[in-house]
Amino acid sequence: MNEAAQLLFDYLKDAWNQPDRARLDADALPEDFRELGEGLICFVEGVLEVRAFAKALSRGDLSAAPPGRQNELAAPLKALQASLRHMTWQSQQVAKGDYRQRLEFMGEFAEAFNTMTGQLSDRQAALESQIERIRAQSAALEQSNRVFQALTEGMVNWIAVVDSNTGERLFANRAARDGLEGKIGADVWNWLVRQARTGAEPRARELIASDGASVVTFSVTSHMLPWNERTAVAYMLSDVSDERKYLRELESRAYLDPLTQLNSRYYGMRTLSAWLGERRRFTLCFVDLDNLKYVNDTFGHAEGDRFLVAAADAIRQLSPDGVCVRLGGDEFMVLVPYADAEEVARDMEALRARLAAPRALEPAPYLRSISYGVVEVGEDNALPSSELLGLADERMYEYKRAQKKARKAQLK
Amino acid sequence: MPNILENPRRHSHFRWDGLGDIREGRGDLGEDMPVLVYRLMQFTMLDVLSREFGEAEADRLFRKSGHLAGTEFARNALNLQLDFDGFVAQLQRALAELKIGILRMERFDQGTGEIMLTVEQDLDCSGLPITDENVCTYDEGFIAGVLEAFAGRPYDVREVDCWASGDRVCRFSGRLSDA
Repeated sequence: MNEAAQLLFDYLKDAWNQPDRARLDADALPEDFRELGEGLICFVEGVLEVRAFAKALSRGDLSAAPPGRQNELAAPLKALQASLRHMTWQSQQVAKGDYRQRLEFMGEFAEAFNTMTGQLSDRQAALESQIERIRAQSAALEQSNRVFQALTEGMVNWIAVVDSNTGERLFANRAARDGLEGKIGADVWNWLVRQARTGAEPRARELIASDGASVVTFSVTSHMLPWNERTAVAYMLSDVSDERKYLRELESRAYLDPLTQLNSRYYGMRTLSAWLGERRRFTLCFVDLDNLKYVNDTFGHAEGDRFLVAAADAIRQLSPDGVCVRLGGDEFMVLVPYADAEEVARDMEALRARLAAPRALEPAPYLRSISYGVVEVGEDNALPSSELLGLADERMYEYKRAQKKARKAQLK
Repeated sequence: MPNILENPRRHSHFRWDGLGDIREGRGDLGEDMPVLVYRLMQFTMLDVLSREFGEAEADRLFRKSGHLAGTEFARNALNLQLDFDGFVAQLQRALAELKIGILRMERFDQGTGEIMLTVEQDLDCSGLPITDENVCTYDEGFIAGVLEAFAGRPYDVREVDCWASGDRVCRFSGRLSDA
Protein backbone atom coordinates (compact mmCIF):
# COMPACT_ATOMS: atom_id res chain seq x y z
CA MET A 1 0.00 0.00 0.00
CA ASN A 2 1.46 3.39 -0.84
CA GLU A 3 1.85 6.13 1.71
CA ALA A 4 -1.24 8.13 0.69
CA ALA A 5 -3.49 5.11 0.78
CA GLN A 6 -2.05 4.20 4.22
CA LEU A 7 -2.80 7.71 5.57
CA LEU A 8 -6.35 7.57 4.28
CA PHE A 9 -6.94 4.06 5.68
CA ASP A 10 -5.45 4.97 9.09
CA TYR A 11 -7.70 7.99 9.23
CA LEU A 12 -10.72 5.86 8.41
CA LYS A 13 -9.70 3.27 11.03
CA ASP A 14 -9.25 5.97 13.70
CA ALA A 15 -12.60 7.49 12.80
CA TRP A 16 -14.23 4.09 13.36
CA ASN A 17 -12.35 3.03 16.49
CA GLN A 18 -11.32 6.24 18.23
CA PRO A 19 -13.03 9.18 16.53
CA ASP A 20 -11.62 11.72 19.00
CA ARG A 21 -8.18 11.02 17.72
CA ALA A 22 -9.00 10.83 14.02
CA ARG A 23 -6.96 13.44 12.15
CA LEU A 24 -6.16 13.85 8.47
CA ASP A 25 -4.23 16.70 6.90
CA ALA A 26 -5.52 16.78 3.31
CA ASP A 27 -2.75 19.21 2.33
CA ALA A 28 -0.21 16.56 3.29
CA LEU A 29 -1.61 14.18 0.70
CA PRO A 30 -0.29 13.96 -2.84
CA GLU A 31 -2.34 16.15 -5.12
CA ASP A 32 -4.09 13.18 -6.75
CA PHE A 33 -5.46 12.07 -3.36
CA ARG A 34 -6.22 15.51 -1.90
CA GLU A 35 -9.85 15.76 -3.09
CA LEU A 36 -10.50 12.19 -1.91
CA GLY A 37 -9.00 13.12 1.45
CA GLU A 38 -11.17 16.23 1.77
CA GLY A 39 -14.28 14.19 0.82
CA LEU A 40 -13.36 11.56 3.40
CA ILE A 41 -12.93 14.23 6.09
CA CYS A 42 -16.32 15.70 5.17
CA PHE A 43 -17.95 12.27 5.29
CA VAL A 44 -16.36 11.32 8.64
CA GLU A 45 -17.32 14.65 10.18
CA GLY A 46 -20.87 14.16 8.90
CA VAL A 47 -21.01 10.66 10.39
CA LEU A 48 -19.62 11.89 13.70
CA GLU A 49 -22.12 14.74 13.73
CA VAL A 50 -24.96 12.27 13.17
CA ARG A 51 -23.52 10.02 15.91
CA ALA A 52 -23.45 12.90 18.43
CA PHE A 53 -26.99 13.88 17.51
CA ALA A 54 -28.22 10.27 17.82
CA LYS A 55 -26.51 10.02 21.20
CA ALA A 56 -28.29 13.16 22.43
CA LEU A 57 -31.63 11.83 21.23
CA SER A 58 -30.95 8.45 22.89
CA ARG A 59 -30.47 10.33 26.17
CA GLY A 60 -33.89 11.92 25.71
CA ASP A 61 -32.51 15.34 24.82
CA LEU A 62 -35.14 16.27 22.27
CA SER A 63 -33.91 19.86 22.13
CA ALA A 64 -30.46 18.89 20.90
CA ALA A 65 -29.33 21.04 17.96
CA PRO A 66 -29.55 18.94 14.80
CA PRO A 67 -26.80 18.78 12.16
CA GLY A 68 -27.02 21.45 9.48
CA ARG A 69 -29.04 21.13 6.31
CA GLN A 70 -25.99 20.05 4.28
CA ASN A 71 -25.73 16.86 6.32
CA GLU A 72 -28.16 14.62 4.50
CA LEU A 73 -27.10 11.63 6.58
CA ALA A 74 -28.90 13.25 9.53
CA ALA A 75 -32.24 13.61 7.72
CA PRO A 76 -33.97 10.48 9.21
CA LEU A 77 -32.79 11.40 12.71
CA LYS A 78 -34.00 14.97 12.25
CA ALA A 79 -37.39 13.64 11.14
CA LEU A 80 -37.43 11.40 14.24
CA GLN A 81 -36.56 14.38 16.44
CA ALA A 82 -39.40 16.39 14.87
CA SER A 83 -41.81 13.51 15.47
CA LEU A 84 -40.74 13.08 19.10
CA ARG A 85 -41.03 16.78 19.77
CA HIS A 86 -44.47 16.81 18.24
CA MET A 87 -45.43 13.79 20.37
CA THR A 88 -44.29 15.78 23.39
CA TRP A 89 -46.55 18.63 22.33
CA GLN A 90 -49.44 16.24 21.76
CA SER A 91 -48.92 14.65 25.18
CA GLN A 92 -48.97 18.12 26.72
CA GLN A 93 -52.24 18.80 24.91
CA VAL A 94 -53.69 15.51 26.20
CA ALA A 95 -52.55 16.48 29.70
CA LYS A 96 -54.50 19.71 29.25
CA GLY A 97 -57.60 17.74 28.28
CA ASP A 98 -57.49 17.76 24.48
CA TYR A 99 -58.24 14.09 23.84
CA ARG A 100 -58.66 14.62 20.10
CA GLN A 101 -54.90 14.32 19.64
CA ARG A 102 -53.96 11.41 17.35
CA LEU A 103 -50.61 10.09 16.21
CA GLU A 104 -50.27 9.27 12.52
CA PHE A 105 -46.78 7.74 12.82
CA MET A 106 -44.71 5.58 15.22
CA GLY A 107 -46.48 2.31 14.39
CA GLU A 108 -47.64 0.29 17.43
CA PHE A 109 -46.89 3.14 19.78
CA ALA A 110 -49.20 5.34 17.74
CA GLU A 111 -51.89 2.65 17.95
CA ALA A 112 -51.55 2.45 21.74
CA PHE A 113 -51.47 6.25 22.07
CA ASN A 114 -54.54 6.66 19.90
CA THR A 115 -56.38 3.93 21.84
CA MET A 116 -55.55 5.73 25.07
CA THR A 117 -56.69 9.14 23.83
CA GLY A 118 -59.80 7.51 22.32
CA GLN A 119 -60.68 5.97 25.66
CA LEU A 120 -59.96 9.23 27.45
CA SER A 121 -62.12 11.02 24.92
CA ASP A 122 -64.99 8.53 25.40
CA ARG A 123 -64.68 8.80 29.15
CA GLN A 124 -64.66 12.57 28.96
CA ALA A 125 -67.70 12.51 26.67
CA ALA A 126 -69.50 10.28 29.18
CA LEU A 127 -68.46 12.58 32.02
CA GLU A 128 -69.52 15.65 30.09
CA SER A 129 -72.84 14.01 29.35
CA GLN A 130 -73.22 13.20 33.04
CA ILE A 131 -72.20 16.73 33.98
CA GLU A 132 -74.70 18.08 31.47
CA ARG A 133 -77.40 15.88 32.99
CA ILE A 134 -76.48 17.01 36.48
CA ARG A 135 -76.34 20.61 35.28
CA ALA A 136 -79.83 20.26 33.79
CA GLN A 137 -81.07 18.67 37.02
CA SER A 138 -79.38 21.38 39.00
CA ALA A 139 -80.99 24.06 36.80
CA ALA A 140 -84.39 22.42 37.28
CA LEU A 141 -83.77 22.23 41.02
CA GLU A 142 -82.67 25.81 41.09
CA GLN A 143 -85.81 26.78 39.21
CA SER A 144 -87.93 24.81 41.66
CA ASN A 145 -86.04 26.38 44.50
CA ARG A 146 -86.73 29.84 43.12
CA VAL A 147 -90.43 28.99 42.85
CA PHE A 148 -90.32 27.53 46.37
CA GLN A 149 -88.58 30.61 47.70
CA ALA A 150 -90.96 32.97 45.94
CA LEU A 151 -93.92 31.05 47.31
CA THR A 152 -92.60 30.66 50.82
CA GLU A 153 -91.33 34.23 51.05
CA GLY A 154 -94.77 35.51 50.06
CA MET A 155 -96.65 33.28 52.48
CA VAL A 156 -98.13 34.63 55.70
CA ASN A 157 -97.66 31.24 57.31
CA TRP A 158 -94.40 30.68 59.14
CA ILE A 159 -92.19 28.00 57.63
CA ALA A 160 -89.18 26.89 59.60
CA VAL A 161 -86.85 23.91 59.38
CA VAL A 162 -85.13 22.73 62.57
CA ASP A 163 -82.23 20.32 62.90
CA SER A 164 -83.72 17.63 65.12
CA ASN A 165 -80.35 16.84 66.70
CA THR A 166 -78.81 20.24 67.26
CA GLY A 167 -81.90 22.43 67.27
CA GLU A 168 -80.21 24.64 64.68
CA ARG A 169 -82.41 26.78 62.50
CA LEU A 170 -81.87 25.52 58.96
CA PHE A 171 -84.46 27.57 57.14
CA ALA A 172 -87.05 30.21 57.87
CA ASN A 173 -89.20 32.10 55.42
CA ARG A 174 -89.75 35.81 55.75
CA ALA A 175 -92.87 35.47 57.91
CA ALA A 176 -91.04 33.10 60.26
CA ARG A 177 -87.93 35.29 60.36
CA ASP A 178 -89.99 38.33 61.27
CA GLY A 179 -92.17 36.38 63.70
CA LEU A 180 -89.29 34.70 65.48
CA GLU A 181 -87.73 38.09 66.11
CA GLY A 182 -90.99 39.29 67.67
CA LYS A 183 -92.17 39.12 71.28
CA ILE A 184 -93.45 35.56 71.12
CA GLY A 185 -90.60 34.39 68.86
CA ALA A 186 -88.41 32.93 71.59
CA ASP A 187 -91.25 30.89 73.10
CA VAL A 188 -92.36 29.61 69.72
CA TRP A 189 -88.82 28.70 68.70
CA ASN A 190 -88.15 26.85 71.96
CA TRP A 191 -91.35 24.91 71.49
CA LEU A 192 -90.37 23.97 67.92
CA VAL A 193 -86.91 22.84 69.00
CA ARG A 194 -88.38 20.73 71.85
CA GLN A 195 -90.83 19.13 69.45
CA ALA A 196 -88.09 18.49 66.87
CA ARG A 197 -85.82 16.88 69.44
CA THR A 198 -88.47 14.46 70.62
CA GLY A 199 -88.29 12.80 67.21
CA ALA A 200 -92.01 12.23 67.42
CA GLU A 201 -93.98 11.35 64.34
CA PRO A 202 -95.14 14.39 62.48
CA ARG A 203 -98.70 15.40 63.13
CA ALA A 204 -100.87 18.46 63.37
CA ARG A 205 -100.71 20.30 66.67
CA GLU A 206 -101.86 23.55 68.14
CA LEU A 207 -99.53 26.00 69.81
CA ILE A 208 -100.69 28.86 72.00
CA ALA A 209 -98.17 31.59 72.62
CA SER A 210 -98.60 34.75 74.61
CA ASP A 211 -96.53 37.85 75.13
CA GLY A 212 -98.61 38.82 78.15
CA ALA A 213 -100.77 41.28 76.29
CA SER A 214 -102.18 39.06 73.58
CA VAL A 215 -102.54 35.39 72.83
CA VAL A 216 -101.67 33.88 69.49
CA THR A 217 -102.89 30.45 68.48
CA PHE A 218 -100.95 28.58 65.83
CA SER A 219 -101.98 25.50 63.95
CA VAL A 220 -98.73 23.60 63.48
CA THR A 221 -98.05 20.89 60.93
CA SER A 222 -94.70 19.16 60.81
CA HIS A 223 -92.85 16.87 58.43
CA MET A 224 -89.64 14.94 58.96
CA LEU A 225 -87.22 15.46 56.10
CA PRO A 226 -83.54 14.82 55.28
CA TRP A 227 -81.52 18.05 55.02
CA ASN A 228 -77.99 17.75 53.67
CA GLU A 229 -77.31 14.52 55.56
CA ARG A 230 -79.02 15.89 58.66
CA THR A 231 -82.36 14.96 60.07
CA ALA A 232 -84.67 17.89 60.20
CA VAL A 233 -88.27 18.75 60.85
CA ALA A 234 -90.09 21.25 58.69
CA TYR A 235 -92.81 23.18 60.45
CA MET A 236 -95.60 25.26 59.03
CA LEU A 237 -97.30 27.53 61.52
CA SER A 238 -100.60 29.16 60.63
CA ASP A 239 -101.91 31.88 62.90
CA VAL A 240 -105.45 30.68 63.62
CA SER A 241 -106.11 33.13 66.45
CA ASP A 242 -108.96 34.81 64.58
CA GLU A 243 -110.50 31.48 63.61
CA ARG A 244 -110.29 30.23 67.18
CA LYS A 245 -111.82 33.44 68.52
CA TYR A 246 -114.67 33.20 66.01
CA LEU A 247 -115.13 29.54 66.92
CA ARG A 248 -115.30 30.41 70.59
CA GLU A 249 -117.90 33.05 69.81
CA LEU A 250 -119.91 30.52 67.84
CA GLU A 251 -119.58 28.00 70.65
CA SER A 252 -120.57 30.63 73.14
CA ARG A 253 -123.63 31.47 71.07
CA ALA A 254 -124.51 27.81 70.81
CA TYR A 255 -123.82 26.89 74.41
CA LEU A 256 -124.65 30.02 76.38
CA ASP A 257 -127.79 32.04 76.79
CA PRO A 258 -126.76 35.60 75.97
CA LEU A 259 -129.01 37.28 78.56
CA THR A 260 -128.42 35.13 81.63
CA GLN A 261 -125.04 33.61 80.67
CA LEU A 262 -126.48 30.25 81.74
CA ASN A 263 -126.07 27.28 79.45
CA SER A 264 -128.27 27.22 76.39
CA ARG A 265 -131.08 24.78 75.80
CA TYR A 266 -128.95 23.05 73.16
CA TYR A 267 -126.12 22.52 75.61
CA GLY A 268 -128.47 21.52 78.44
CA MET A 269 -130.31 18.88 76.44
CA ARG A 270 -127.04 17.52 75.11
CA THR A 271 -125.69 17.24 78.66
CA LEU A 272 -128.89 15.58 79.89
CA SER A 273 -128.66 12.97 77.12
CA ALA A 274 -124.99 12.43 77.86
CA TRP A 275 -125.58 11.92 81.60
CA LEU A 276 -128.40 9.52 80.89
CA GLY A 277 -126.12 7.65 78.48
CA GLU A 278 -123.45 7.46 81.18
CA ARG A 279 -126.10 6.22 83.69
CA ARG A 280 -125.23 8.97 86.11
CA ARG A 281 -127.14 9.59 89.27
CA PHE A 282 -128.50 13.12 89.48
CA THR A 283 -131.56 15.23 90.13
CA LEU A 284 -133.28 17.15 87.38
CA CYS A 285 -134.89 20.36 88.55
CA PHE A 286 -137.33 22.23 86.32
CA VAL A 287 -137.73 25.91 87.25
CA ASP A 288 -140.28 28.43 86.03
CA LEU A 289 -140.51 32.13 86.95
CA ASP A 290 -143.82 33.13 88.39
CA ASN A 291 -145.68 36.01 86.73
CA LEU A 292 -142.98 37.03 84.26
CA LYS A 293 -145.69 38.11 81.78
CA TYR A 294 -147.21 40.36 84.43
CA VAL A 295 -143.79 41.94 85.14
CA ASN A 296 -143.14 42.50 81.45
CA ASP A 297 -146.55 44.00 80.85
CA THR A 298 -146.60 46.15 83.96
CA PHE A 299 -142.98 47.24 84.45
CA GLY A 300 -141.55 46.73 80.98
CA HIS A 301 -139.33 44.11 79.38
CA ALA A 302 -136.17 45.63 80.87
CA GLU A 303 -137.50 44.83 84.31
CA GLY A 304 -138.59 41.41 83.05
CA ASP A 305 -135.01 40.82 81.90
CA ARG A 306 -133.66 41.89 85.27
CA PHE A 307 -136.01 39.38 86.87
CA LEU A 308 -134.68 36.67 84.56
CA VAL A 309 -131.05 37.55 85.33
CA ALA A 310 -131.72 37.64 89.07
CA ALA A 311 -133.41 34.26 88.93
CA ALA A 312 -130.55 32.89 86.86
CA ASP A 313 -127.96 34.15 89.34
CA ALA A 314 -129.91 32.49 92.13
CA ILE A 315 -130.26 29.21 90.27
CA ARG A 316 -126.54 29.24 89.50
CA GLN A 317 -125.89 29.03 93.25
CA LEU A 318 -127.87 25.84 93.62
CA SER A 319 -124.90 23.60 92.99
CA PRO A 320 -121.31 24.36 92.13
CA ASP A 321 -121.15 21.11 90.10
CA GLY A 322 -124.59 21.48 88.59
CA VAL A 323 -125.46 22.41 85.05
CA CYS A 324 -127.81 25.38 84.94
CA VAL A 325 -129.73 25.85 81.74
CA ARG A 326 -132.14 28.44 80.41
CA LEU A 327 -134.52 26.34 78.35
CA GLY A 328 -136.27 29.36 76.91
CA GLY A 329 -138.64 32.14 78.02
CA ASP A 330 -139.09 31.83 81.76
CA GLU A 331 -138.12 28.14 82.00
CA PHE A 332 -134.87 26.85 83.46
CA MET A 333 -133.41 23.44 84.14
CA VAL A 334 -130.76 22.47 86.65
CA LEU A 335 -128.99 19.12 86.65
CA VAL A 336 -127.49 18.46 90.07
CA PRO A 337 -125.11 15.47 90.15
CA TYR A 338 -125.22 12.86 92.92
CA ALA A 339 -128.05 14.64 94.75
CA ASP A 340 -131.42 13.27 95.77
CA ALA A 341 -134.67 15.07 95.04
CA GLU A 342 -135.43 16.04 98.63
CA GLU A 343 -132.09 17.67 99.10
CA VAL A 344 -132.49 19.68 95.90
CA ALA A 345 -136.07 20.65 96.83
CA ARG A 346 -134.79 21.88 100.16
CA ASP A 347 -132.12 23.98 98.53
CA MET A 348 -134.66 25.29 96.00
CA GLU A 349 -136.93 26.42 98.84
CA ALA A 350 -134.10 28.35 100.41
CA LEU A 351 -133.18 29.83 97.09
CA ARG A 352 -136.82 30.77 96.43
CA ALA A 353 -136.98 32.52 99.74
CA ARG A 354 -133.80 34.54 99.07
CA LEU A 355 -135.13 35.57 95.68
CA ALA A 356 -138.40 36.73 97.18
CA ALA A 357 -136.69 38.87 99.83
CA PRO A 358 -137.46 42.60 99.61
CA ARG A 359 -135.12 44.52 97.33
CA ALA A 360 -134.04 47.90 98.64
CA LEU A 361 -132.47 49.24 95.49
CA GLU A 362 -135.02 47.93 93.03
CA PRO A 363 -138.22 49.90 93.31
CA ALA A 364 -140.44 47.62 91.18
CA PRO A 365 -143.13 46.47 93.61
CA TYR A 366 -143.64 42.86 92.68
CA LEU A 367 -142.72 39.58 94.28
CA ARG A 368 -139.94 37.69 92.58
CA SER A 369 -141.01 34.14 92.82
CA ILE A 370 -140.19 30.85 91.14
CA SER A 371 -141.79 27.42 90.97
CA TYR A 372 -139.93 24.20 90.49
CA GLY A 373 -140.34 20.48 90.07
CA VAL A 374 -137.65 17.90 90.80
CA VAL A 375 -137.13 14.40 89.46
CA GLU A 376 -134.47 12.13 90.86
CA VAL A 377 -132.73 10.11 88.19
CA GLY A 378 -131.07 6.90 89.27
CA GLU A 379 -128.47 4.75 87.63
CA ASP A 380 -131.26 2.37 86.61
CA ASN A 381 -133.37 5.06 85.02
CA ALA A 382 -135.26 3.89 81.91
CA LEU A 383 -137.06 7.11 81.00
CA PRO A 384 -135.85 9.17 78.10
CA SER A 385 -134.90 12.80 78.56
CA SER A 386 -138.16 14.14 77.14
CA GLU A 387 -140.23 12.15 79.62
CA LEU A 388 -137.98 13.12 82.52
CA LEU A 389 -138.30 16.77 81.55
CA GLY A 390 -142.06 16.37 81.11
CA LEU A 391 -142.32 14.79 84.56
CA ALA A 392 -140.34 17.61 86.17
CA ASP A 393 -142.50 20.13 84.31
CA GLU A 394 -145.66 18.46 85.68
CA ARG A 395 -144.26 18.59 89.21
CA MET A 396 -143.37 22.23 88.71
CA TYR A 397 -147.02 22.99 87.73
CA GLU A 398 -148.28 21.06 90.73
CA TYR A 399 -146.00 23.15 92.91
CA LYS A 400 -147.11 26.37 91.18
CA ARG A 401 -150.78 25.48 91.65
CA ALA A 402 -150.18 24.62 95.26
CA GLN A 403 -148.42 27.91 95.83
CA LYS A 404 -151.25 29.83 94.19
CA LYS A 405 -153.81 28.01 96.29
CA ALA A 406 -151.86 28.74 99.43
CA ARG A 407 -151.53 32.45 98.57
CA LYS A 408 -155.30 32.67 97.91
CA ALA A 409 -155.99 31.00 101.23
CA GLN A 410 -153.70 33.55 102.92
CA LEU A 411 -155.58 36.44 101.23
CA LYS A 412 -158.92 35.19 102.43
CA MET B 1 -65.17 56.98 -25.26
CA PRO B 2 -64.36 55.34 -21.90
CA ASN B 3 -66.41 52.26 -20.86
CA ILE B 4 -68.20 53.52 -17.81
CA LEU B 5 -69.82 50.08 -17.30
CA GLU B 6 -66.42 48.41 -16.79
CA ASN B 7 -65.93 46.64 -13.44
CA PRO B 8 -63.41 48.79 -11.56
CA ARG B 9 -62.10 45.79 -9.60
CA ARG B 10 -58.71 44.45 -10.51
CA HIS B 11 -57.43 40.93 -9.80
CA SER B 12 -54.08 42.51 -9.09
CA HIS B 13 -55.65 43.76 -5.90
CA PHE B 14 -56.33 40.63 -3.84
CA ARG B 15 -59.66 40.04 -2.18
CA TRP B 16 -60.81 36.73 -0.71
CA ASP B 17 -64.01 36.75 -2.72
CA GLY B 18 -61.91 37.40 -5.81
CA LEU B 19 -60.93 33.70 -5.67
CA GLY B 20 -64.29 33.13 -7.31
CA ASP B 21 -66.72 30.24 -7.23
CA ILE B 22 -64.30 27.43 -8.08
CA ARG B 23 -66.90 24.69 -7.76
CA GLU B 24 -69.19 26.33 -10.24
CA GLY B 25 -66.43 27.45 -12.54
CA ARG B 26 -64.83 23.98 -12.67
CA GLY B 27 -67.95 21.88 -12.65
CA ASP B 28 -66.34 18.94 -14.44
CA LEU B 29 -62.72 19.19 -13.37
CA GLY B 30 -63.51 19.94 -9.75
CA GLU B 31 -61.74 21.98 -7.09
CA ASP B 32 -58.51 19.94 -6.87
CA MET B 33 -55.45 19.91 -9.07
CA PRO B 34 -52.03 18.22 -9.00
CA VAL B 35 -49.30 19.70 -6.82
CA LEU B 36 -47.17 19.72 -9.95
CA VAL B 37 -49.20 22.61 -11.38
CA TYR B 38 -48.88 24.60 -8.18
CA ARG B 39 -45.15 24.14 -8.12
CA LEU B 40 -44.86 24.87 -11.82
CA MET B 41 -46.35 28.29 -11.24
CA GLN B 42 -44.45 28.86 -7.99
CA PHE B 43 -41.01 28.04 -9.25
CA THR B 44 -41.35 29.64 -12.67
CA MET B 45 -42.45 32.80 -10.91
CA LEU B 46 -39.46 32.48 -8.54
CA ASP B 47 -37.23 32.05 -11.53
CA VAL B 48 -38.53 35.18 -13.26
CA LEU B 49 -38.54 37.32 -10.12
CA SER B 50 -35.02 36.20 -9.20
CA ARG B 51 -33.74 37.02 -12.63
CA GLU B 52 -35.50 40.38 -12.65
CA PHE B 53 -34.82 41.47 -9.03
CA GLY B 54 -32.25 39.10 -7.59
CA GLU B 55 -32.83 36.10 -5.26
CA ALA B 56 -33.04 38.10 -2.03
CA GLU B 57 -35.71 40.40 -3.42
CA ALA B 58 -37.56 37.45 -4.96
CA ASP B 59 -37.57 35.74 -1.52
CA ARG B 60 -38.86 38.93 0.11
CA LEU B 61 -41.68 39.19 -2.41
CA PHE B 62 -42.57 35.52 -1.94
CA ARG B 63 -42.58 35.94 1.84
CA LYS B 64 -44.79 39.01 1.53
CA SER B 65 -47.22 37.16 -0.78
CA GLY B 66 -47.35 34.26 1.68
CA HIS B 67 -48.07 36.69 4.52
CA LEU B 68 -51.03 38.15 2.60
CA ALA B 69 -52.29 34.61 1.84
CA GLY B 70 -51.93 33.52 5.48
CA THR B 71 -53.71 36.59 6.83
CA GLU B 72 -56.61 36.29 4.40
CA PHE B 73 -56.83 32.52 4.91
CA ALA B 74 -56.98 32.92 8.70
CA ARG B 75 -59.55 35.70 8.57
CA ASN B 76 -61.82 33.94 6.09
CA ALA B 77 -61.40 30.24 6.78
CA LEU B 78 -60.52 29.98 10.48
CA ASN B 79 -62.21 30.78 13.75
CA LEU B 80 -59.99 33.36 15.43
CA GLN B 81 -61.97 33.38 18.68
CA LEU B 82 -60.62 30.05 19.96
CA ASP B 83 -57.90 29.71 22.58
CA PHE B 84 -54.42 28.95 21.31
CA ASP B 85 -54.64 25.17 21.62
CA GLY B 86 -58.02 25.09 19.93
CA PHE B 87 -56.73 27.36 17.19
CA VAL B 88 -53.72 25.13 16.55
CA ALA B 89 -55.94 22.03 16.37
CA GLN B 90 -58.19 23.83 13.91
CA LEU B 91 -55.19 24.96 11.82
CA GLN B 92 -53.80 21.43 11.74
CA ARG B 93 -57.12 20.12 10.42
CA ALA B 94 -57.48 22.89 7.86
CA LEU B 95 -53.94 22.46 6.48
CA ALA B 96 -54.41 18.70 6.24
CA GLU B 97 -57.84 18.98 4.58
CA LEU B 98 -56.54 21.48 2.02
CA LYS B 99 -53.45 19.28 1.54
CA ILE B 100 -51.11 22.15 2.28
CA GLY B 101 -49.08 20.00 4.68
CA ILE B 102 -49.06 18.18 7.98
CA LEU B 103 -48.53 20.73 10.72
CA ARG B 104 -46.88 19.53 13.89
CA MET B 105 -46.36 21.71 16.91
CA GLU B 106 -43.10 21.34 18.79
CA ARG B 107 -43.21 24.18 21.26
CA PHE B 108 -45.09 27.33 22.18
CA ASP B 109 -44.07 29.72 24.92
CA GLN B 110 -47.14 31.55 26.16
CA GLY B 111 -44.99 34.15 27.90
CA THR B 112 -42.90 35.21 24.92
CA GLY B 113 -45.10 33.98 22.08
CA GLU B 114 -42.18 32.04 20.61
CA ILE B 115 -43.22 29.08 18.57
CA MET B 116 -41.55 26.11 16.91
CA LEU B 117 -43.36 23.89 14.43
CA THR B 118 -42.72 21.60 11.51
CA VAL B 119 -44.56 21.04 8.28
CA GLU B 120 -44.31 17.62 6.77
CA GLN B 121 -45.22 16.70 3.19
CA ASP B 122 -45.17 20.40 2.47
CA LEU B 123 -46.93 21.63 -0.65
CA ASP B 124 -44.02 23.90 -1.57
CA CYS B 125 -40.94 21.85 -1.00
CA SER B 126 -41.35 18.23 0.00
CA GLY B 127 -39.53 16.10 -2.53
CA LEU B 128 -37.45 18.94 -3.98
CA PRO B 129 -33.82 18.21 -4.84
CA ILE B 130 -31.53 19.14 -1.99
CA THR B 131 -29.78 22.45 -2.29
CA ASP B 132 -28.19 24.50 0.45
CA GLU B 133 -30.86 27.19 0.50
CA ASN B 134 -34.21 28.13 2.07
CA VAL B 135 -36.95 27.50 -0.41
CA CYS B 136 -39.97 27.85 1.91
CA THR B 137 -40.09 31.63 1.96
CA TYR B 138 -43.74 31.61 0.91
CA ASP B 139 -44.49 29.24 3.83
CA GLU B 140 -42.64 31.56 6.21
CA GLY B 141 -44.90 34.43 5.20
CA PHE B 142 -48.01 32.23 5.25
CA ILE B 143 -47.41 31.00 8.80
CA ALA B 144 -46.53 34.51 9.97
CA GLY B 145 -49.76 35.84 8.44
CA VAL B 146 -51.86 33.17 10.14
CA LEU B 147 -50.24 33.75 13.54
CA GLU B 148 -50.54 37.52 13.17
CA ALA B 149 -54.26 37.28 12.33
CA PHE B 150 -54.78 35.14 15.45
CA ALA B 151 -52.53 37.01 17.90
CA GLY B 152 -53.20 40.52 16.60
CA ARG B 153 -49.46 41.19 16.76
CA PRO B 154 -46.86 40.91 13.98
CA TYR B 155 -44.92 37.68 13.74
CA ASP B 156 -41.58 37.00 12.12
CA VAL B 157 -41.29 33.37 11.00
CA ARG B 158 -38.15 31.83 9.59
CA GLU B 159 -37.43 28.41 8.27
CA VAL B 160 -34.84 27.08 10.67
CA ASP B 161 -34.07 23.99 8.74
CA CYS B 162 -35.27 22.23 5.68
CA TRP B 163 -34.21 18.68 5.13
CA ALA B 164 -35.06 15.66 3.12
CA SER B 165 -35.23 11.94 3.29
CA GLY B 166 -37.78 11.20 0.66
CA ASP B 167 -40.34 13.15 2.68
CA ARG B 168 -39.30 16.66 3.35
CA VAL B 169 -39.91 18.14 6.79
CA CYS B 170 -39.45 21.85 7.35
CA ARG B 171 -39.00 23.40 10.79
CA PHE B 172 -40.13 26.94 11.35
CA SER B 173 -39.37 29.21 14.25
CA GLY B 174 -41.57 32.19 14.95
CA ARG B 175 -41.40 35.13 17.34
CA LEU B 176 -43.28 38.35 17.89
CA SER B 177 -41.54 41.02 15.85
CA ASP B 178 -42.78 43.90 17.99
CA ALA B 179 -41.56 42.38 21.26
